[in-house]
Amino acid sequence: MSQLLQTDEIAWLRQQEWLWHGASGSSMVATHPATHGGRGSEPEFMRRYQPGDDIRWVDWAATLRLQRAMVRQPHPMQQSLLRIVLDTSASMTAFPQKWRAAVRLVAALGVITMSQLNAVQLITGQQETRVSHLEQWMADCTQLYATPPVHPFEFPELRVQPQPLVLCSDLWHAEWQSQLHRMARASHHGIVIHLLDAEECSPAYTGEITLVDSETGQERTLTMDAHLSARYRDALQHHLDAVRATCQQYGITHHLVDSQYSLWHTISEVCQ
Amino acid sequence: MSFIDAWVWWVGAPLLATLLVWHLLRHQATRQHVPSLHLWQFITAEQRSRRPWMWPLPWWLFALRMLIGSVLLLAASGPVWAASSPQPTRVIVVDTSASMRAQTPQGVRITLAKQHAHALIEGAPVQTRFTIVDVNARMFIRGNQLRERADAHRLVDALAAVHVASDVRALIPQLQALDNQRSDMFIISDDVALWQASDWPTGWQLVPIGGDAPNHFIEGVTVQSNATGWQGMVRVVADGPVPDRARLLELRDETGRLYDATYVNPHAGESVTWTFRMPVVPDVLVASLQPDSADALAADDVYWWRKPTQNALRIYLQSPDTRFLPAALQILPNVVRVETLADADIAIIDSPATLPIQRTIPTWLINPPSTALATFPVLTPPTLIGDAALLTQDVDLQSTQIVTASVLMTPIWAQRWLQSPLGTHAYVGVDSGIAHVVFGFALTHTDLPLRVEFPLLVRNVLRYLAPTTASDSMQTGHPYAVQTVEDAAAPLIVSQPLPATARMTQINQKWYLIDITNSGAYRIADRWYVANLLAPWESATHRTATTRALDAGFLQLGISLRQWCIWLSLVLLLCERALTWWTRRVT
Repeated sequence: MSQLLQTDEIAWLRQQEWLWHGASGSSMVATHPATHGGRGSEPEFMRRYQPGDDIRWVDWAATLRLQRAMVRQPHPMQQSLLRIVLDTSASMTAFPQKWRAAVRLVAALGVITMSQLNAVQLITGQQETRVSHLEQWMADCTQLYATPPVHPFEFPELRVQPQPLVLCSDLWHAEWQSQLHRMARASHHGIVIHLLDAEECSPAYTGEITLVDSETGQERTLTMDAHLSARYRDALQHHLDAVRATCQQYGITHHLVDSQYSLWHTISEVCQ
Repeated sequence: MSFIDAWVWWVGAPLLATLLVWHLLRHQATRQHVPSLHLWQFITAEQRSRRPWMWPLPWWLFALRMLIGSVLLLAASGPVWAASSPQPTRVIVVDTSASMRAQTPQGVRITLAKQHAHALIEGAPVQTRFTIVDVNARMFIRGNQLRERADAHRLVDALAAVHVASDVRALIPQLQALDNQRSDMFIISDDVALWQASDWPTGWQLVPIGGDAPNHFIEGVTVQSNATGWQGMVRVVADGPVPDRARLLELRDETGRLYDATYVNPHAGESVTWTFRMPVVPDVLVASLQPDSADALAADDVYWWRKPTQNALRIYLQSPDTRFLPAALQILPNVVRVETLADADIAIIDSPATLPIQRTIPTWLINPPSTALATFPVLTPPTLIGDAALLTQDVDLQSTQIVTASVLMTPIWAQRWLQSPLGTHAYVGVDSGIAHVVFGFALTHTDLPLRVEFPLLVRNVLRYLAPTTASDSMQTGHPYAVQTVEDAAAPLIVSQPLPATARMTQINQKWYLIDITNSGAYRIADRWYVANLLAPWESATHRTATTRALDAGFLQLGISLRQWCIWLSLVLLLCERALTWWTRRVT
């Protein structure tokens, strides 16, 4: 098996700096200490109150000013965490090129994160792995690529945390909207890497063909022609527009990625 | 069509096999795994492959369709319900020949026979069905269908010894036909030697009615008018032991006034004819043999002759094997049936052994001897012209089922009535001023006697052969008075096989039927009959591979096997449609 990431790719990735949606990687840590109402000189960041927050964190002045419950949550100074949720459903794993692209992308994001002295938590449905060492991370990703999970994928219930949360999926679930909703509830910095194959974007089938759903096994026999292909492209565009609109509604960054893109191209687009 | 026909196998089996092979080897569409059908379900909700045979087809759905095809093929083959009635049946044959009227020390023989019949009815297992057969010269069967116990009792009570004895051995084949239904057969007769001399099938039981008695009987009375007055003949036969002395034969009117008398004394097995002349005769002439001793004939041993009314139709009927024709003639108005060789207005010759050389009177010739038989001819009645058009009034012979028919040579004076691609099977015409109707098939080999329109056909023929005597009282859609025979059940509601019903109503103690259809199957109360309601008993169509058997068990089922198959295929078809819909929805 060829290496998941080449040495030159790892070297290039370690030089990258990932700016999280308008903030630098260091923005995960407050850039200045709180000056009012805080507890000493601990770095804090302010956010909206959520059920379960400590009542002592409520910033009453900000609450009065903004007319909404706000809290100042202290943040540990030490290592920050990037959570990555990887869709391991059959629609991802049953297609080698797509699955390799997905794991390479996840591995690359981990390399970038750990190069900035942060940790990575990889969540694949029912399994969670927290890694802060590059060698361990690459070994885990290689293992994941070689033996993908066989159980059905379901977006996990995650604790609310301020750290960024990345979802790498093709969003072919019928419940993709609820997935995005769960993601938005779990983090304020959601990033969706929407990974699709070129064949999914523009199917090249012709004639009598029986399509088999890789997840459910359902079949549908069609007479494929230019008209039906055009209708499919229209439906796909409509679907992508709906995904983008939903992401925008939930404050999630959406990146549409073709599995055939080079890693350089994909990372450049995601890290911009 | 039947599975017995070889071509059904040559065509049907390869057809089903071809469908099966085609299904197994049919071109399959290219299978392509896709991550998800999420989008395809939206854009192809109504759009599927334009080639239905490419659609995914589960094996069980294909099997169901093959089953439907097989059932439809079975229905088209006209299956025959071979099983008879599941209920036990008991056939009681009662000899009602004239000798059964004899008075014996134990009583009148027919009374004794009735007592035995009642005992057999009562001794039968529960739910036994009965057929009462009245055996006489023409094997007149009074139990016109399988009866329940109460009806059987009533039929036995209705039996009367009014018939002339004849050789009952000729009737045994017909009784054997009844016995083919695996019935219990009991024969009650006073002539044990005669029955036992016949080819006696195993399993039949003979119930002898004993007692010696003088056996002189009046066979018949015929009175005709001529230029000098009236001339009559009385025929007396001797059956069995006869007394030494001659018997006094008297002619009286219905008031008892004596017109003439003579002594007769035929020897055993012989007959004697007494010819008499009278300037005038009463409306009713009663011939009677006076008893010569206290234990001789009963006083009611008489023969009534009625003076024919004006426009009455006298028919010379020779019908050795037909039960329906006499019954149909009997119910027609203004018909006086004369079964002697005296001159007649019409001659009806049914299934003659040889053709009559000269036909000097209008003749209805049925089933002349021929060897050129056409099996199941598909009839195409041409349009009759002239007076012959009356023959098709209210009668549709095109739908008649005929098992076999002879191909007739049509005389130059005749019109073809029924034709098939093989030739002519019936013709009508007037030869030297005398009308003739010729059928090239036996009535018993058709379903004509099963039809309500059968008496109409007889009426039409009589009107054609004797235009001045026939009556128009029988017309489609008009009330028709049904003369109930003495053993007939009181008609209630006559239902056609379809939900439509034809109600019989009683007006002035006569029953009227106001519906005449082509169908012969009717139901009265909860039992099925094979109508012609006007026929004395049900007909037994010939049980061949190509005819629809209508035996008793089949009729009790109330619905034909073919209809069962069609209903079953419809139910299966609905299931197939539902499963197909479900399959498409799932896939």
